[in-house]
Amino acid sequence: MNRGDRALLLLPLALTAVGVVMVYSSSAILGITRFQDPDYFFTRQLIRAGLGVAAMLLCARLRLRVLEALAPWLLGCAAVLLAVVVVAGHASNGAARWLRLGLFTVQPTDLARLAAVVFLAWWLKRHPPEERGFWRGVAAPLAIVGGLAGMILLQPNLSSAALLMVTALAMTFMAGTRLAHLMVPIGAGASAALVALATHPYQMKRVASYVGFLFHGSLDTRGAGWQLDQSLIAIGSGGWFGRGLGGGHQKYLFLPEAHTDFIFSILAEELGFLGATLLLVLIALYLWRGLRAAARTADPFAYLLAGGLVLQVGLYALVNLAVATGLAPTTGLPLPFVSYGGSALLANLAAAGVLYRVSAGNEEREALARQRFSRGDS
Amino acid sequence: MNVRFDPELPGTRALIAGAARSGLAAARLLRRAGLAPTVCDSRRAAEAPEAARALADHGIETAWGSDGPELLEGHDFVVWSPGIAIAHPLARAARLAGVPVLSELEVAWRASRAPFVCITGTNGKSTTTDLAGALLRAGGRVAEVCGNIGRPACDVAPDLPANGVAVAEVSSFQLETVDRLKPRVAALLNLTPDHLDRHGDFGTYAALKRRLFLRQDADDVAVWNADDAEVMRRRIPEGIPTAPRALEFSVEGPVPRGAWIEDSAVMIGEPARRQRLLNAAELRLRGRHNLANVTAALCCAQPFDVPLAALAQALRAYPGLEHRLESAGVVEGVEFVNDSKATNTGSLAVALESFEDRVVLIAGGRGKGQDFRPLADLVRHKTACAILIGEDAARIAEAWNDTRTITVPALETAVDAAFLQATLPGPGVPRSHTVLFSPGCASFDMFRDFEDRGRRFKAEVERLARAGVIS
Repeated sequence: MNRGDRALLLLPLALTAVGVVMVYSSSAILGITRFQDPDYFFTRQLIRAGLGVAAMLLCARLRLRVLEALAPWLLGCAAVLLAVVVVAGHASNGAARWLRLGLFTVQPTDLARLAAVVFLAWWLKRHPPEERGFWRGVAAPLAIVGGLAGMILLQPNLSSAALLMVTALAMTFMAGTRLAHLMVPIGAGASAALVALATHPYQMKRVASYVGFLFHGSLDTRGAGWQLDQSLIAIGSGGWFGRGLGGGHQKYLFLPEAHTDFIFSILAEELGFLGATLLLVLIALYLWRGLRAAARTADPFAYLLAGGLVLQVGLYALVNLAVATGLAPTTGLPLPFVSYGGSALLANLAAAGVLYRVSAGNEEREALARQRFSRGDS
Repeated sequence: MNVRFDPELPGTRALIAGAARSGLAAARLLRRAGLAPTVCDSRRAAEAPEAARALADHGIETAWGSDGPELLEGHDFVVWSPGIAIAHPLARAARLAGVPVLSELEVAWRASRAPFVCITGTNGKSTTTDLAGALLRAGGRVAEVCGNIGRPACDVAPDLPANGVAVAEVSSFQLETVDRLKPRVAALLNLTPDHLDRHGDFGTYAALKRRLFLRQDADDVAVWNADDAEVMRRRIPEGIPTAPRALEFSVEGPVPRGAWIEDSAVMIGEPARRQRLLNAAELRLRGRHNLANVTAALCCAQPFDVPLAALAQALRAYPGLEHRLESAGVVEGVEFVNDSKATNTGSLAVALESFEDRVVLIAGGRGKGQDFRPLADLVRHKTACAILIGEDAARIAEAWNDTRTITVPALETAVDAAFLQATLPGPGVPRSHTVLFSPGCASFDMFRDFEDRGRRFKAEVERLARAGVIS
């Protein structure tokens, strides 16, 4: 087996390490107050990071052919798990997103978003939109993924559902759909989002608070605006070089969700503009290497798969960072690799393993081509 | 005077949890600011008639007999009274719903133009707060003491002039619900395991104390107890640009900057530029713990430029808080000390350690199941004789069986017996110059509360001075 692009393994490892450190820093006070244990969240995140790295190494050896064959089954599993969550969900934060499996609670959403990417790559390879036309090539796969998104929406988790549909749209675009064909689902999606917002006052309140901030500059500090207010205090008080690792103030129960959705704010507070920029550079490098791997593939399945997986990490990071800085309405999306949360970390590390596998396939093929070229056959 | 909140409150529709003193004060303040708060309380209106009447007089909406999460509907934020546990379902529901929960202290601070001095810790808060207020007044400042002692912060702070000072005693419960509170001076006196019933454990309790200092910046002052390892372990490290200026106090010796006790004198400044304020013996406050309170209060007053002479004079004149090692008068060379506030064995031990010579101790009351045996050694060394009163007198006498104890039925006989034991001790026993009334027990078996008990004691001392021993 050929070596792949090792940056695709090292960058996720570095981001995960940053994450474990920041989870420890941001959650120690919460752990003390909630569980009398400053290491409560840290040890759990460390165990999950270990499991995640194992999953990454496993996926790095998984042949793409096997993954391709499994695609429809993965989608089926994800759909069943999501259905279980919807029916008998574990209530938390006014939303049912978790499923208790023995010692662990898993978010099937994270499995579903990976399964959806694998499935779309599988489907679009077999039904290229350009040849099969709108119904087989665009409407059918989007409808199937739309079913998953619908179940995620029922949890309710509007932001994850929306990002899943954006990923799906982008993948059909990558597969070579005419723009006119994409306009139909985009229009449908936009109107669905509007209906969803209108029927979910919990999210509507957040959007309203955001619009107020964006257009009037005034931060409505009640409800969702409260979190953003505390987040901006954290980022702003970090200055250029931060208060020093561990020296943050906002984690003293001032900023809610400091170790999950707002971990970037604590990082910016403690490591400053410099540290935050370095984190962005790490994420950007990972996205670049991932897109490069996608661009060099020859097989449509590998191309779509890699593109979808990279895109997903990029979208989650983009939305999470936009929320933390007040550029998007407050919503509960984790920062990939960094935020506390086992399922997301596991899914992202597994995806990194798959990306590595894709890059290894590229190397293999290119090495073979070079060999043939130098021998003068082909 | 107009009320202006800076920073602004998170909304206009306030729900005030608790209709006790501080809840009522917050309601009045918000009403004055033109808002229409709702006050809720788990009691029925009939159980708190005075509060109900006061709220009705101000036209404030009330929800008596309810404290459920449904109250949050239609409210932007909750004002939390320090007397209600923060683990209460209403506070939890508010957090889940993203509704800010602010303490009454936070609201008062936002409405105040005057800077705040906030004093927290496990022991000595009240005396230090009161003394800091006295020192600031000696320097010509309009200083009001508020919080647990004095009036609620919401009643006091908004009307202080900009060059006045609000001196607040802050409990750790209040610290859980402060947000922007940025004290000009914040002091952490000591950390000992206490109040753990509500915080769960010492770690939480200690970690939350830090919140008092986290909004401070380089223009502010943080005061730390150099003698308390738990405090020093948790102080804000200096050297980062936003750290508050640190002052320390110690009864052991010089500190880098602050106030300390050295050769029985109260010193302030820095070791290189030290200034002697007065001799510790000149203080009317007694006991080592009160020396810590004095040095802490000096640190709290430091940023407000009180002249040294004024500080020394105020310290000499300060009588201490009522019922806390308060002098109740001298009769024929015997000083009577009222420490009725001592309602547990810990306070009794502190009181005994405050005296160099042997005293005649009056103790007892409702023992609340405390074990008195650990005190036996201290009592034997520090007392010439112990006079016991109250329902647990016999149990205490048994626990202190190697000390001479006399059990008497009433407070007046106790005062007389103590006076006689002090002035006419048995053969070979030296005279005592102090009678210490430090019950170490609850007062409810014989008195309305510890204040009633203390006042009755002082009345008996007065009677003794006037009329002598009842024959």
